[in-house]
This record gives sequence, C-alpha cells and structure tokens, in this order.
Amino acid sequence: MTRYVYYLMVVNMLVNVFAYVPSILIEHRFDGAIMSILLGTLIGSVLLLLFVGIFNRYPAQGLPELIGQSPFWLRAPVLFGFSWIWFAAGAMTLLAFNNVTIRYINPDISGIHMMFIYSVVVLVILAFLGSDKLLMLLEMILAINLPLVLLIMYHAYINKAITWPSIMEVLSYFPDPPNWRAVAGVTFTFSGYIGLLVFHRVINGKIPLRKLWALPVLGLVNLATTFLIPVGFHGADGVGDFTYPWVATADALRMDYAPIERLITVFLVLYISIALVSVILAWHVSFELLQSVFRLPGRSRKVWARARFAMLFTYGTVIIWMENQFRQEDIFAFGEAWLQIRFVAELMLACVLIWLAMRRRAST
Amino acid sequence: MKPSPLLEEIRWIEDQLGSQPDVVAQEIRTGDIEARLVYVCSLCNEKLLNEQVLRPLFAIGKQSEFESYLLSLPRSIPYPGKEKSVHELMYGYALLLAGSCVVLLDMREKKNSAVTEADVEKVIQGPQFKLSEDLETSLNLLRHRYHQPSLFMEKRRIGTASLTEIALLYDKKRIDPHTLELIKQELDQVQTDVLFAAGQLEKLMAKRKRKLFPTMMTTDRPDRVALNLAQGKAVILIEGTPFALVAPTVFYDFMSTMDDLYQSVWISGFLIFLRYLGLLICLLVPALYVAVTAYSPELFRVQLAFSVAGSRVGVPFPAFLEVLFMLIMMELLTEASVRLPNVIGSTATTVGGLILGQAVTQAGLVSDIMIIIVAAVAISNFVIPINAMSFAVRIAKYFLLACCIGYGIVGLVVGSIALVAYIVRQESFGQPYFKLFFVPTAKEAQRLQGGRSG
Repeated sequence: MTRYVYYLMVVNMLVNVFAYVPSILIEHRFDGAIMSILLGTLIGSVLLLLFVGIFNRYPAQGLPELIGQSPFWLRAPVLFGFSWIWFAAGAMTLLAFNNVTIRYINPDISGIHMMFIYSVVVLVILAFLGSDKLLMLLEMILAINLPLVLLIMYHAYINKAITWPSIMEVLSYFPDPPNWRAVAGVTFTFSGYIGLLVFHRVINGKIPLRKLWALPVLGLVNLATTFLIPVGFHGADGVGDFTYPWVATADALRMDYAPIERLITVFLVLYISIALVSVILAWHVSFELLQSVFRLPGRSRKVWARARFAMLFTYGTVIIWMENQFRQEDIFAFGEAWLQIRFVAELMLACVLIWLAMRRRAST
Repeated sequence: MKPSPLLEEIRWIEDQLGSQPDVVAQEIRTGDIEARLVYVCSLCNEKLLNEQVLRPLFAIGKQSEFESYLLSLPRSIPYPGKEKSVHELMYGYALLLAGSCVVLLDMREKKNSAVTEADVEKVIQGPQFKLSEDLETSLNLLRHRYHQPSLFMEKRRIGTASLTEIALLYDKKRIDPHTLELIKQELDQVQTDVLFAAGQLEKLMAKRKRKLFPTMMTTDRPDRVALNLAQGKAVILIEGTPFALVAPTVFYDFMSTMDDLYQSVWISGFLIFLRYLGLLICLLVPALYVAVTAYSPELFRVQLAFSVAGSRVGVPFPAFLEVLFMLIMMELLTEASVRLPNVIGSTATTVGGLILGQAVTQAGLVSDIMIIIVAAVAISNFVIPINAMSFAVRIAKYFLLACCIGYGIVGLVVGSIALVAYIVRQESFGQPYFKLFFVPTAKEAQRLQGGRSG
C-alpha cells in the first residue's frame, strides 16, 4: 500500500503544472525563480522526509488519531484550521480549472453552471467513497492519464520551435536570491505529503524512506518543465504576457501523424481529470479533518449522516459563492495569498507534529 | 392386528402425497416380510429400484436378513421423520418400510445429465465441454479436474417452492475464511420462491440490488471453475443450470478468457490488450462522436473534421439523435438475434444489416461515419468475454453519451471519472473490485504457499 504515497505526491506536482505555480515562477523569472526552485525543492524534500518519518512511527494513524489525546484548545483549532486550508486548496484548483473550462473548452456555458456540475460530481464522490477507495481511484486515473502526460512532454521537448537561448537567458539569473512568493509556490508542488494526514489511516506498512529519493528528482523535472518550456516557446520576455502560460504552450504543440492534430485538447482533457482528482483528494482530507473535530461518542448514525450532508452542502455553497464573487484576477490573487498562508501553516503543522511525537515518546 | 405407529406415519405421508397418478404406494408380501414401498415414479429410476430392492427382497425372503441388507445398502439413509421424508420423496427418494425398519433409498434419476459442448464461453484450444445441468454430473466434472481432498462442499436448498439444490464448493486450504463467512451469510439471507439460474442467485445475494457491474462471475466452463477454486475462490453450483457462480471476483476476471492461460505470453498479452481496446472503443467512441461534432470540432485535424462534417451535411438531426437512433437500432438487432430461433435468425441479421448499413445512409438519415462507429461499437462490445460484463458495458456507454450530450468533452472526462469512481466503489465479498495492481498480501502469499505444499 505504500506506493500510494508516490501517487499523492505526483498528482500534486502534476496539477501545479497548470495554474498558479508557472505564473508565479514566470513572474519572477528575472529575480530569483531558479534559486527559489532549488530552495523550494530542498524545503519540500525535508518536509516530506519529516512527515513520512513521523507518520511511519504510528502505523495506520492519521492526524486526528495522533492529536487525539491532546487538549481540546489545541486539537480543535489545528484540525479545524487545516480542514479549511485544505478546502481552500481544492477550491483554488477548482476555480482555476473551471475558469480554463469556460474559457477554452465550453465557452457557451456560464461559470456558475459549470462549477455546479463539477462540485456536484466531486461532492457525490466524496460522500460515497472512503479513503481506501479514493486511493484506488487516484491510481486508476493516474494510470489512464500517464500516456497523455508522456505524450505532451515528449512533444514539448522535441519541438523545434523551442528557443534554447531564451531558456539559457532565464537560467543565467541563477545567482539571484530566492523570492518568498516563489518559494511558497514551489513548496506547494511538494505538499502531496499533506494527504498523509488522513490517508495514512489506510496505508499499511512503513513507507521506506530511502526510496523517496525519486520524488525530489521528479519534482525538479516537473518544475523545470513547468517553468522552462513556456519560456522556450514564447521567449524570455513574451512569456510574461499570458494568464495561463501552459495552455498557450500546449496550443503551440502539434502532432504530425494522428487524427488529433492540436495537443491543446489532449492537454485540457488531461488537466481536467488530474485537477478533478486532486480536488477530490484535497477535499477528502478537509472533510475527514472537519468530521474529526465534531466526532463525539454517542451520536446516532442518522444524526451523523445529516451532519456529513450539512458539511458537504457547506462546501458546495461556499465554492459556488466563490465562483460567483471572484473574477479572474481575484482567483489568482486568492491563489497566491493562499499559497503563502499554506506555506506558513504547513511549517507550523510540522512543528506541531514534532511536538506531538516528542510528547508521545516522553510518555512511553 | 393394530397398525404400528410407523405404519401410521407412512399412511400420513401417503396422504400428503395424495393420489397422483405418478405416486406409487405398494404393499409387498413374501416369506415373513411385510413391506410397504412409497415413491414418485416420475422422479425415480424404477429399473434400479427393481434390481436393488425388489429382487433381493424376494430372493432373501427373511425379515432379519433383509433388514441388514437394507441398512448396508450405500443408497439407503435412515428415516428422518415424516415431514422431511415427504420432501425427500419429492427429490426422488423411495421410502421403504419392512417390518420395523424404515429407510429412504436414493433412487433419483435425472434426465438432464448430458454434458454438451461449451457454447457461451468459447476457447480455441482447451477443454471443449461445459458443466451439466445436473449437479452430480457437474461435481463429477469438477472433481476430475481438481483432485484435492481439501475440496469441501456444502449443500443447501434455496427457494420456498422450487427447493433448488445448490452446492457451495471451496478449497479449504486456500479460501480466505472471512470471505467464506461473508458468502455463507449472503446465502442465508436469500429469500425467494423459485431459483433457476446463476444470475438470479447473484441478484438475490447482492446487498445492493441496483448495481450495474457484476460482482460474481457466471461461467459454465469446468476449467475456469477449477482454476478459480485453485485461486482460493468459492463456487456455487446450482441444480438445473450448467452455469456456476464464482465469488469473489474482480473487474479483471471479467476481461479474461481461459485462452489467456493456454496461449503463449505474447499472444495472450496481445489478446488482453485487444480486449481493453475494445472496452474503450465501446465506451468512448459514441460519446466522443457527439462531443466532437457538437461541441469541439477543433479536436480533430482539419481534414478529418471536414470529412465528418461533410458526411453529416444531409443529416437533418443533431448528432446526439443520430447516435441514439443508430445505437438503439443496433441494440434491437442484437436483442432480436438472441431471441429468434436459429432458422429465422439469419433473416433478422440480413435485413437489419441491409437497413442499417445501406438504406439509412442513402435515405440521408444518418452519416456514413456513424455507420462505421456503430459497427465498431457493436463488434468491440462482443470482444468482452464474459456476457454479464459485456451487458454492463453496453449500458454504461449510454451514461457517458448522456454526459457528452450535455457538456461535450468536459462531460466525457467528468463522466469517465464518475464511472471509474462507481466501479472502484464496488466490492465483491470484502475484496476491492477494481484497482490497478492486485498484489497478493503477505497473508495470501503464505496461504497459497501452504496450499501448494499441502
């Protein structure tokens, strides 16, 4: 079962190819993006090792179980706060890909309508599938999408239109000191380990730490592709003009010998499926954490089922409200603010986990 | 002489059976034996009865000797009481009262024990015959393919009216006790009047009645059943149908044929690939056609998009009506050719083929490309080897089609994810139904090893 950790990490990396992270990195391409990528990878890997290391000690336990014995004033805010931070993670992805959908695939449909469909599907899947089943779903969807990822990467890298000098130019800004916003963005691509907070309940067995080396490497390759390929296609200067640099890049790719000529549709199909699964996972983490705050002994199943329904209904209402309120710039502003809040919160969570582990060790 | 209480009971049983023309109740006297024989002649083998009971009776002629002969006869079972005896008489047992001794004699005769060629699940090179409609014959076929003393069997009767005999078979050393317990529980809660077929039992056993995908496999191949026994699965044989139920089963089982085992690695690999390709074509192509023609014609390279649009020029409907129309026609054709007797069957296919293939396009109701799509869907649907799964996929493609009618390519992607989530959610007796790798857990591996060395 330990292989599911890799999937959690990979899906988080892939989903960030599309929206916020490339825009942030490209914005800072002349002041510290490269250094931020390196520093972010380092921080991300350390946090990954830390989380996996701590959870390895407590087999089949998630954050709610780990934090279970601590006082209510600590337990409730941590669980509740993280629940909403991960709700926001899903919401951010959902808002961005809803925006892409109505812009590039179904322009005839209103944003609210499309968002309604997406959120209903996500919430129904959340209501019916448990953690173990969701991991199987994730594995399936990744396996189905893997050929598409490889296809797009292959066509991106062999494309003759890439201007390598532009890439070299951006790379030459290597010595610039890292930028806070970019680091926050880069570390998010590695934060698939947050899934462990809930999914570790169903991951049996120790996750071998030594085999995790593949993840930073994958993450680095992923970030390099995310950042440098659009630069190569649109030039070091021109790339700054796009809202969704990767959609523009995918639109520049074409296949010679297939019934499908433009890779843009393939890219969007891939994007929707990866993003949808990532939203489902993020909200599942959020949903389980939220439930653990309210789960008290002695509540009947019927009351509990209603409470679950109320929680999911709240999720749906909030996301529809957000879609109604936010314009495109708001979505991006929200995403960036969230990335920074999340980074700080994640560091705090790491401290809490270390403290919990030390306390547990002291008590035994 | 006052009638003994046993004779009273026999009289009661005879009353229960009534004076049907095929009920035989006979008094026999010879030497010092006074015997009474009751049976239903339409269920019994009278020749056997004659040879094993009546002749010895007259040859021995002595009460005590005949009693010991009866009790040592392998076909005899002790008298189980009057209510139960009535049941057993209805299965083809004969009741014999000789002096103070009552026995039931197994004189069952089954006319449907023929073993015929397997015609539902065909293989090219492999065992050619299927299980029999008779339970004992099927057991014989299985035991001859699986010579293990650890092959356990439990018989039950299901159905308040039909009282159909079923046999639950499993290899004690290989089956997971928890799974077995679940299967037995499900069997216990089955309530029905009549039971005639494997699919019916599956439906009755299922906790959630409205599921689309089969979670138990129906097969009539003895080699597949034996293989599944060796894999630690349980098999349910049902009297009166050649189909057996196998549980637990996962999605991949429905995409496998026995040929996969009999062919070389590359050939079977290629065949499996073909099957999954068929699955994808059948599920996705009609939906994709609607999504591309109605929503995103820019998906295809421009020449192809033009030729699709060109062939649709004369068609007066939107794409989804065209697809629905043709798919329904195809389903009707399939259904008609299943139900028709063989003699008329070819007419249906010829007429249907002509109408679908030629006249419809010439009348301008449907585009040429649509014909190709419908044919591809129909053919690839038949590539799925297990019938129940092939039916499920036939239905599932309409779900994806509906998603595409509403939302184009996005609908296709979201619908596919929902479909995968739906399949992932299924369970077959505690086993996950659909995941990418089925790696045996340490416990399973140990069990398999134990099974091999034992």
